[in-house]
Amino acid sequence: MDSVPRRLTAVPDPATQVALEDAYARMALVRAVEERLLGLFSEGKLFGTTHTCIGQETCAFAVVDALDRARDLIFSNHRCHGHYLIHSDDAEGLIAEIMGRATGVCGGRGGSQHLCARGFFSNGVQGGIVPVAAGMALAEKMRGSGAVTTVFLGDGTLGEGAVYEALNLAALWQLPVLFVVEHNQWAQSTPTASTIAGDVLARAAAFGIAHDRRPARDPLALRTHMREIVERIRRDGLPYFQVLDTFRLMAHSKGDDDRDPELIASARREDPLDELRALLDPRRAEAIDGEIHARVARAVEAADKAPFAAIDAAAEVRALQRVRDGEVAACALAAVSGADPQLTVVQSLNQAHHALMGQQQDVLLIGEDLLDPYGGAFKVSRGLSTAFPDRVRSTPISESAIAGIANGLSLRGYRPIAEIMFGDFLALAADQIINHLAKFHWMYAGKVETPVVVRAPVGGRRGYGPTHSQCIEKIFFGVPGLVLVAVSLRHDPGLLLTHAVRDERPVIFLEQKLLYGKRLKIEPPPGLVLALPDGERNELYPTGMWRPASDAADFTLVTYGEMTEIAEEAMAELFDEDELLAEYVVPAQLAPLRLDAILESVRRTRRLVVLEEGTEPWGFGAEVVARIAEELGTQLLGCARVGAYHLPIPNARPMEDAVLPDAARVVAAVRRVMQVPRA
Amino acid sequence: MSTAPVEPILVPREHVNDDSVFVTEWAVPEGAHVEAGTVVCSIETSKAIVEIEAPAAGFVRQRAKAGDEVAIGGVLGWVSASADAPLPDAQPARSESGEPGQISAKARRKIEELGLDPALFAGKTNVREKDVLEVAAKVAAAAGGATDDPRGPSRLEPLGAVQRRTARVMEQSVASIPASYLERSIDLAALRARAKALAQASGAVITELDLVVHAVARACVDQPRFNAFNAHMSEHYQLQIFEQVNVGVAMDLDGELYVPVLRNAAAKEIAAIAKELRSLLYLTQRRRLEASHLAGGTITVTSMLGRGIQRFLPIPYPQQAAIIALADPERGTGERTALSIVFDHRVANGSAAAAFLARVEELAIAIAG
Repeated sequence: MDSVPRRLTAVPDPATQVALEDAYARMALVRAVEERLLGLFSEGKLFGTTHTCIGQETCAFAVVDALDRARDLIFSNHRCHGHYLIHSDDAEGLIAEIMGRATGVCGGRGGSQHLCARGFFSNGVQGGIVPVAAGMALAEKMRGSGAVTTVFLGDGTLGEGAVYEALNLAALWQLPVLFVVEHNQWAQSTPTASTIAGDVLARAAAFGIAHDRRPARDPLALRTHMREIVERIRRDGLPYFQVLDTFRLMAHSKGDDDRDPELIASARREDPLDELRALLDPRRAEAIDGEIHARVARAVEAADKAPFAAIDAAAEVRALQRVRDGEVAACALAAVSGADPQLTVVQSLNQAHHALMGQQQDVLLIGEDLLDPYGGAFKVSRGLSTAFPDRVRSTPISESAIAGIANGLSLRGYRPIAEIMFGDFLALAADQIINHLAKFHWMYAGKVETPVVVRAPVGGRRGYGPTHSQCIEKIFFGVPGLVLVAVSLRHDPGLLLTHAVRDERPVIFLEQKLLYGKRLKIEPPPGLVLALPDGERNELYPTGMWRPASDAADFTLVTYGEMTEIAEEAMAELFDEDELLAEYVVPAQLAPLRLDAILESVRRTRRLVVLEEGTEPWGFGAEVVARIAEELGTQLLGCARVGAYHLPIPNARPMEDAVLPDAARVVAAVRRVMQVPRA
Repeated sequence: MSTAPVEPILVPREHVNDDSVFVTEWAVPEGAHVEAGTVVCSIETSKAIVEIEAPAAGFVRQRAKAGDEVAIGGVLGWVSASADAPLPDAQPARSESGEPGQISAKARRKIEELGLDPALFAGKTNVREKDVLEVAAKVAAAAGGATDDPRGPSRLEPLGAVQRRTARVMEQSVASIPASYLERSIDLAALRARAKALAQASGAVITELDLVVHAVARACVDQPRFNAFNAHMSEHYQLQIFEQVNVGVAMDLDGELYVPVLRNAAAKEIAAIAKELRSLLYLTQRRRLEASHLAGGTITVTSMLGRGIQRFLPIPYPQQAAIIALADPERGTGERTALSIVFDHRVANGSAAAAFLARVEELAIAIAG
């Protein structure tokens, strides 16, 4: 393909003149806003940096203006000002946003790279937005809205694996997505010719996606082409891959431009905006320039006078912790939910999936190997693809795409459940979860919800070895916006899942593999009675608490998930041998950590032991102990964490048993905390 | 558990000789509501028919049936706060609402040691050793009966296992042995000199008590009547005389009495006797005596040497003819002390016992190692 820009040569007729003026006015606004932003940066009026598309405005105009603003969707990247301004004409909101003002598009939360307005999104992480856009396209396809979703990539982004996961599924599932690669030849400071192998279009061809490459010089001709492409996508329901050759006249962001000055000077002489302006009546051009500069000046002045977005961070934290629109069906503790004690965990979860998908058309399931007769690696999805063939999406091995597509579906009104076959593979979806799913609601100033449930079988003692046995939830504990829920035999797994699906927040739903075949536990542990703290009945993910019926307990034991089995074994042994009695606290919601029940208990016992299956350092126990210590100070007489040793999980069972926590280590920890003399 | 909805109806001790009673009849039907103090049933002791009152108001729940034998302190039935409150009988230690409870290992041992009925722990979810002791005191109080004792308030404390065994043994001895007492003044200085000489010669520790034990064993060979007991069957009096002399030696540990047995003592040299006695003392002090160490005694030696006691009257073991006691010398003299014997007068008379003591002194002071 021709990658050398060519000059505009046509002499416009009067009708075209109007169109040219419109194109110029909109592109010049982009240019003027960005040039002013660079000025504001120099004046120290911006926070951090900003990425301009100066020189690339043609792409933004031709592609975005070819879309149907009423229904089509755009997901843009870090270099999104042009796309946003062509889409919305909201120079005032953009400037205020980048200047960090309350009047900005996202109230100053997102800044330059993280915008959200009706039908428009942008995010600053390369590649990750592509699966999200694919998910939005899937939602629109399922809904039959005829909407086309456009996602903007740079040539540098072609190095990201998530792009290819999304291309594969867009082709396979025939999603109405327009992939636009703004090919400016540079990835930050590096020429992509030195980092990207092979042919760019061949990438699309490999997936059987229709494709085209052309220079972005003539805005009207390019818009005409893009209109044809958009209508083609709308008509055929197939993805399209458009490469636009362009050139960035300014630095990647600020102060990081080491390109040959001669190269840039030569490109400046061929600035498409200058070429477009040359086609206009000079007086009209001047008038347009004057209006635009006045508008931008007013916008800056207004933003400068607007207050900085105030934040009560503590209140924001509480708001993130609050359930949004989640309705509690029943208290999800096995002892009080009315759960059938004959039910195994896998049956409970499977029944809940069937019930949820039967009752709610917006619930769907996405993941690997879900289809019958296999029915999922751990059989949680058995029968679902038969009962709901359109709403069970079996994917290739593409965890990033699974999470991203689920996110995109949720942005468009669905309530997807994503199954990650082994929790260990959450690492492959970590960018999607951490930088996209968890952030959107808050970063976009509450304009969107992402009610995704990411289900993950976790945990060891199945002999699966170092990469299929971990409890790696700790890498997500500290991510704001995420809810982590753990199934236990003391809870009602199906009800927890139902609540997770109702929760507007993204939930990572942890299912320890050893639990699947076990039955729910209704009767309390020997010697203890259920003592549900006030308010827990109204929580989506209640914390169970059991106390001695009439005696004072000696210590508080906190654990979650499958570790209740070990905790209960240890409690029995501690009473039998040492006459030590526990208060037993089993949360289902791990993060955000709800401290109330634990605190209430430790206030009484003044001694705390926390058990988890994951590695002991930097874990759940560390957080619980730290928070309790902060609350109780010297009232806390002793505390201990018990978790796996800080090692990978070995394959051989005896070694695995030696690394993972067991009842003996819990007993030893409690004796240490209770200062029981050594025998 | 002051608010326990299930209160046990216990068998009181009405007569010292009774270990158990028989249920005569229930005075109220199963499930009847009664006030505290209402007579709910009657029991038959070895002496009389005794009426049992409800310990609290509530619904009577019968456990024992008419004609059943129930141990003292055992559970006849309950009064419960509601007519259908779950009964704890099948599984002791359940919570008030019937959830499973637990009994610690220490508590289980204590329950067994004190011979308590596990059903006493009804409504108690977590039974620890202290709970067992509390319930035991309550049972003892119930067995004690009278509440308006003119001697004022008192408390009842159950005996430990070792002392209970001692108590049974003493009771049995006093009840079955017509014992008599003789005392002989022996030359303690000579005994001490002898022990010292033997110790120097052998390089081992040899005490006065070792010499007495050895002498008693050898005296029994000379006078086998004292290595025997009165094995009478109804009117036929007879002696059962043992061929081997097994000397029990009384040892006190924290107020508990143990009598480990030095077997076949007459056949052993003094050094071996001394060594074995040290070993038994060691095991006693570490509570490592086993049943085999305590069984098979045919005669017993007890000593108060060093305790400031000049004369004492030990009680012989049941099924033994005699116990030999070594006392402290008169304060300030240090030369002579009392060697005494308490013996079964059916087995031997005073002259034989006197001769036995004389022989013991002779052997103890003259033993040649």
